[in-house]
Amino acid sequence: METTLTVRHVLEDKASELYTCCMGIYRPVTQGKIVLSKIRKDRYRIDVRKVLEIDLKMKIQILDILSDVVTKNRDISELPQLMDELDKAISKLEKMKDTFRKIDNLFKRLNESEREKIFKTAIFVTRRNVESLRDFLGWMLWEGELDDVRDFLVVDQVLVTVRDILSHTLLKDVRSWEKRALMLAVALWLLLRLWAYKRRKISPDDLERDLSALSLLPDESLLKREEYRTVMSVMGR
Amino acid sequence: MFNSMDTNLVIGLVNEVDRLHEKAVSLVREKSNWILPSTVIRETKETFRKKINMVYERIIKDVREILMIENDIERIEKLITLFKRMSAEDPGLKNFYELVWKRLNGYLSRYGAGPGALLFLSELAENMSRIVEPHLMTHINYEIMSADILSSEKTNFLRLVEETLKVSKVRFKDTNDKDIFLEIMMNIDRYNPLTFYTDDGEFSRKSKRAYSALVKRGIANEGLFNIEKVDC
Repeated sequence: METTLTVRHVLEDKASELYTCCMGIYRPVTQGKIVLSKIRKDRYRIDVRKVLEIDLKMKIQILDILSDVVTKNRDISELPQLMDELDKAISKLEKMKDTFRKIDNLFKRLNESEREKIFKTAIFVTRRNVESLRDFLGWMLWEGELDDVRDFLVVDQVLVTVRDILSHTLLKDVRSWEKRALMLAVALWLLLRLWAYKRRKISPDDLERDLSALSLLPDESLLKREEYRTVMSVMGR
Repeated sequence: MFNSMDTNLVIGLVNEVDRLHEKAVSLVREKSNWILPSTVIRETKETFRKKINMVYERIIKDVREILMIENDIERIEKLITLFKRMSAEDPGLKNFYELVWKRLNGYLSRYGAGPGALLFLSELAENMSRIVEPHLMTHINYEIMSADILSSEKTNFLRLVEETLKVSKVRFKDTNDKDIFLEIMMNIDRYNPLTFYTDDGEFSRKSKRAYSALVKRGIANEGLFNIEKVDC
């Protein structure tokens, strides 16, 4: 007998892909292998591979450890410290802690131009990976495998937001690492919250709360200013 | 002298058919120096986002079935009928449904029917949810309070306020109400005297009690915060 799938099932099925997206932000070097070859840092590819090519069980364990850090609702102003908290959490994982530290040190030791190249490549690839997660979610809904449209909307909108934030970090006027750091922390926070939602540590309401705390502007190609009043009518009387 | 308002009034300000619209507009005309808690802005956006998604949930469920129809002409005809029917059922949303249909039709003409159309609707809903702040700015000139709770001084202050709420047995009806009060108190040394307008009698009473308790315990100074209940 067939059962209906939920958005949580889809996230479980795509755990490995979600892990790769998180790593692209948490440790950009993992998505910058091609740049490592170019800058003759090939020897570090082994460590990068260790992060990406671990088995699914370990990836899920890491997602669980990292998502434990994001189970409480928080204000955006608290997020700059997120990366430190994640480092602290991952340091408890004996098997992987040295690898994570090593590739973090590698990134920090690169010169500005090398870091820039790796960062841009990582964000470019991660943005595409996020889109690919969306595609799968949309496909499952299209195929009639999913019934919880409300959860689909919220989870997909988190992914849209992550994609938009990542795109923003690539803009020419956002070149300061400080600015980028906050944006990346927000993007990673949102992705880890998806896993926390999958694990039922938080609800779709919590995800909506996260999105409501952000100040992103609508894409003008989708919505014009003169249409805002019409959109507002959804509030009703 | 600063002025601030509750979520219901902010919603009333941006929503022209809201029961509080006229009251909110006249307040904004009469007063100046508006400073809004970030919690109020977030709650407004959250309320709006939920409404948008509720409407889209229905649209997506109905549209998905019709998009499966292989014949292009039949599919378009059914979609037109669907959006007309939804408008007839809820005339207040007629223009809204027309806008969604216009965008969806534009997408379908370019990319055809497929899973991408469902993702497009979700993305459209997300973008619609983002209009609150830019739209609010056209109605009121305001600053947002900082919700910075990182400094240890503020954290200590927050702990004292929370302790006072407990001792004086003030229990706000939900987390949002409590967060709004805490955010105001954390910023009162910067924005004072501050008058906070609300239509919520319960919030008004509890905030007054909580503030008096803070003054009594010497945690807040007298005369910095005033709450005014408005009637429509």
